[in-house]
Amino acid sequence: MFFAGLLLVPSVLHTQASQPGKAGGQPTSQTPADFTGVWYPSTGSTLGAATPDNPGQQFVWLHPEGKPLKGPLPLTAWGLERLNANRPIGPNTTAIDSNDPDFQCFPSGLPRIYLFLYPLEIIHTPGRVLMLFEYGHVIRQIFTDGRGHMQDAGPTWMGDSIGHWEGDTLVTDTTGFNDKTWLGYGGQPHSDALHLIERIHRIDHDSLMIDITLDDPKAYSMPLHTQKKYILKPDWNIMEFVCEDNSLNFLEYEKKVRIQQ
Amino acid sequence: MKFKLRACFVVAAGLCVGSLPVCAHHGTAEYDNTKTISLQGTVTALQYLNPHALILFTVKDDKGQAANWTAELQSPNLLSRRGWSRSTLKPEDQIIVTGHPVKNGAKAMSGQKVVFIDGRETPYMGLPADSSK
Repeated sequence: MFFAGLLLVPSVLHTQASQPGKAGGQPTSQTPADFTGVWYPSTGSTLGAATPDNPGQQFVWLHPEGKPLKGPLPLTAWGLERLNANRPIGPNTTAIDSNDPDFQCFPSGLPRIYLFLYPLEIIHTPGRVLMLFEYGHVIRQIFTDGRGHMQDAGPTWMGDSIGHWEGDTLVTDTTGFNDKTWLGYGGQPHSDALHLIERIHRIDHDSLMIDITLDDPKAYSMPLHTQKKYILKPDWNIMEFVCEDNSLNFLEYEKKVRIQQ
Repeated sequence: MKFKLRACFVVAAGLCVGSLPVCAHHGTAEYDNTKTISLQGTVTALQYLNPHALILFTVKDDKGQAANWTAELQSPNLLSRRGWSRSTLKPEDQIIVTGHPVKNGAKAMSGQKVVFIDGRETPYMGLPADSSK
């Protein structure tokens, strides 16, 4: 029940959330909490903490009740077929032999973009909360003005996000995805029926937690839960990141070092 | 062909967690992380571009024959936050690069640490110090 407990007691955990700081922390007149600032993904102490080969770059998916899953992900037949068609990097598969959409410079999508070790900036503006992801220079808009989802939204890489406040937790609801992105480096698929619910809240002034519930009945036989923690970086700015910048030279390099000749 | 290897084949299990030069984007499958080599060479170019910076450098063997090597680093964004810039390495700089060799035998390696032969060090290339907080 670990995860469910986190979902139920945010107001207890967030008592420091409104303390003013160098970057954010003071609620605006429009929102109950203010996450303004640049945040860096933590590689430790959360689900999906660092492993030697993949430092903090995998989600650990849990049962809806918060228990760890035993065995493989509960894929449907459709999901299993997609998983088998994906060629993730592995002991003998380097980037150039993988069909990971990320290595072709496509947007990483949600929630995978949280796994990359690059910061995101959160900006509050009336009626919207913006996430500026350094990785891939993707902008995500979360509409908090009370609107519903777009009619027939998508298909899009980052989905159509609406949000509302429950205390000082921002609860987002995202649909309208395409089925082209993966959930992680392992090639875990999702479908265009993906529905993400996120609960974004401070656990202390310098730490932001994103509790993620994934519901994708086309690809998975049950909803799944995970979370990602971010650390406040008051002195940082988002920098340019253009994936294609080095693509030609990098492609040549990847050909040089590929394992499958 | 024999190159000037220093501190060859040091077991380096777990090094990726601490220094993470190339893990952030595409994993480390191409590298033999159980081995660490150090090569002395001359910088041809530092390609300071996303998603990964590359050091192009030449290494001479015992007979004076030069070979072109490449060391892959992490992204310029992560390097810049550690104090690197596009001018940290310049053509003709004499350097020693330490890292993991690729598995397929090509003249390529991950760059874990770079020092100048006069002893000056380049900034540490790992993640922010509090990233595991």
